[in-house]
Amino acid sequence: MRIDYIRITLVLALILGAVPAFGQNEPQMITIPLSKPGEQLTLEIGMLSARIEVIGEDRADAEFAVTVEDGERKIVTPSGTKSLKGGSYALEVEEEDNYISVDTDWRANKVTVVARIPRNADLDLSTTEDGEIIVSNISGNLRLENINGPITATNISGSVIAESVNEDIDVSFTSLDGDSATSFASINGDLTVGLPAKAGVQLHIDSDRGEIFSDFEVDVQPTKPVIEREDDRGGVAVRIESVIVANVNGGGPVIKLKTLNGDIQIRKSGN
Amino acid sequence: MRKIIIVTVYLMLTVSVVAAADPVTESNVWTEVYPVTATTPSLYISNIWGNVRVRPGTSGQISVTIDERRSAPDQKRFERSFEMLDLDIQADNQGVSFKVGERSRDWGRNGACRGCRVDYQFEVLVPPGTQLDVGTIIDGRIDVAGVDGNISASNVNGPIAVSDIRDCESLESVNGAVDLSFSMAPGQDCNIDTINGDITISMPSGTGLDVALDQFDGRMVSEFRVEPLAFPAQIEQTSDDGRQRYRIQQSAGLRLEGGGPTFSISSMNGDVRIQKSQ
Repeated sequence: MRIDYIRITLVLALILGAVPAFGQNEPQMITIPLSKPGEQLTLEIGMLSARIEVIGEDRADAEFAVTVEDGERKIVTPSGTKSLKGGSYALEVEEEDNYISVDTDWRANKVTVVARIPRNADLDLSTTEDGEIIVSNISGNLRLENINGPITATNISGSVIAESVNEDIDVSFTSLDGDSATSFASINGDLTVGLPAKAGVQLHIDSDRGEIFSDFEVDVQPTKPVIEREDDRGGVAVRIESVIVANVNGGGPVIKLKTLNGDIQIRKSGN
Repeated sequence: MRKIIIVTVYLMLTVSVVAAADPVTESNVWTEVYPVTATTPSLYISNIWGNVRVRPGTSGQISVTIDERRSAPDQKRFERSFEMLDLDIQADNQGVSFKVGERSRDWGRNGACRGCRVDYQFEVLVPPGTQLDVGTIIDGRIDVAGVDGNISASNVNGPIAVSDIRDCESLESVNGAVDLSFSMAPGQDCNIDTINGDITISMPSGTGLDVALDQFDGRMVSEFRVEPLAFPAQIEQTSDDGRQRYRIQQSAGLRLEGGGPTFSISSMNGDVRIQKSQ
């Protein structure tokens, strides 16, 4: 009995001892001083499969916590095929003149990047497979693209162009930049936009099968379908676009919302 | 009569054009012996077209047989090729360096010597302990056997075969296979890199090795006992002309027969095979 107990303890100790050897998921930390601290920066992250989280803070540098999921390789050995855990990858972060880019090579599995950056930043974030984009507390122009995953942005001051094919987009503003375009598009996902209670905007809503909800009273404007004609060598293409135009709080910067199968919700920020 | 003159002139013109367009080739073979006194002499070869073959020789000298074949589309460009493509040889008692290179960077682009080519086949005998750094680019093979010094070798479009050696430092090929065999268990780290070639490493039975593996699409086969090995991620910082670059790199790891020096093996599309020496 005592021997069995010792054996079990030894086996457990060996297993537990082996776990850190494979524990390659601890984040790697990189802190980058900016070329022009205090000035607007641009952050570009484009990866095939990634969870990208960008957090605006009161700081003068940029900090990145990077984690890459373990991969698995098969090795053919005399005693049979074995699995080798632990991935191989390379990830590069570059900074030049307040422009930061993050990129991985072809070997990387799913990457998680948590970036803590100054609040004043323009963002260009994109991912394709099994990804997620989360942004908070940023003031600037944002371009967010996630083909098969959700996009969430909170406490945003500025403009946002967000596109997803199959998942939801949820963006809440503290203020809008009237000079830059703001647009949300998803084929199958819901669109949720949060606006300050007193924000004046003009909504251009193009929803085919979904429902539209609003916390605000809206003043629907009379519209006519927009017909675009393009003459080409192969013939003539005519595109008819019919959108609902509605003013919130008397109107203001245009927000375009387009979805095929999703619902649209206009929410008061904080609700 | 006038027709005959026109035809004759036309024929003369045609003949002269054909003659001018005849490719010109010239071959030379020579052997040089370079005395070296260093205990670890060095051999450096940077070839463009052709093979590099290295074998063990006698102490105190590096013996080189060079087979040069120079060709150009016409006589004018052939003569110009001597000004533009040359073989630079540097030798002293520490070692010998052969560099096939272009004197003018624009030799192939500006048409002055388009189509010019100089193939060099190097056959080299080196004394014991010679450090090798040899490479070629096109239509060539790196073939090293039986030498006991440290080896670096590179090829772009051909194979690298390094056999019966003690240690390597760096073997890099883009499209060719890398075949590597050790006469005894290697004692130092080595980098082996290809994009599209297979990598085969032969070692004596019982050899211990740690492998940092970067492989994308190929198979990995080992005749040795294998266990997983965790390599820590490396973070490298460089700065260049106002651009800061941070690179995190991690390799999959495996340990053979209890471990040993670390071989970094990278192949994008090739298979990797680690086998026991026959």
